[in-house]
Amino acid sequence: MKNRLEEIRKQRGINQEELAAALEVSRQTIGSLENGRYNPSIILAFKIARFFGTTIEQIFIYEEETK
Amino acid sequence: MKRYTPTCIPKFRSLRMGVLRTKRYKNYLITAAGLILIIGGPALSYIEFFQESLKGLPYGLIGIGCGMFGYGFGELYTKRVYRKHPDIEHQNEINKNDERNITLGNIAKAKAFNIMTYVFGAVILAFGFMGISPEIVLTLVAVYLFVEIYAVYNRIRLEKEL
Repeated sequence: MKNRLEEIRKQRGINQEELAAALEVSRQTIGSLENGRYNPSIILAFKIARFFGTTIEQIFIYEEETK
Repeated sequence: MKRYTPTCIPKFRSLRMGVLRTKRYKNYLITAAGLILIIGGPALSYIEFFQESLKGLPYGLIGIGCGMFGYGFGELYTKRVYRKHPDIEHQNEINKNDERNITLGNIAKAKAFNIMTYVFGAVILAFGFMGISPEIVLTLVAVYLFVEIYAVYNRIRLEKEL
């Protein structure tokens, strides 16, 4: 799933380790989220949105797969 | 009206304190028990009863003892490291509860179980063709079926819960 996590994180001047510590996940999870290899659970998505003071839709971009 | 829970009754309160104390010394007990089994296992092989029947028991006890000693000693050493470096403990807790790590672990276990189903089945067949005693083969088949039925049971249970 595409997302703007890296862009928003850099705008706030936070590195991956700091974001991981704040969300209580591993740094590798943040890395995988940013490059779209891993999709977060709904709870983690809410935590991320709340951390940045925004909505889930503004961070994660849902595109329907076309077969 | 006061609810009577087990811990509000003095007899059970002291039992709970005993359980808590046991939990604190649990790893010491496991390490000591492991050591006793490692030393006691070979000692049993000198007893006539175990020389004639249950010949494998001393070696089984050594194996269990090594496992218990390793586990208990490992836990004690880990706790010692965590006391000196609380930040390592905190990071390990995060890694253990990290949802991506849990997902990766579950996928790896599922794939390993799938392969084990075929490999274990092939081994049982091979044992059958090799003429291994029927008791051993049937025991392996029973264990194999137990694991498969347990997997199906858990799937049905989870379907209802989730």
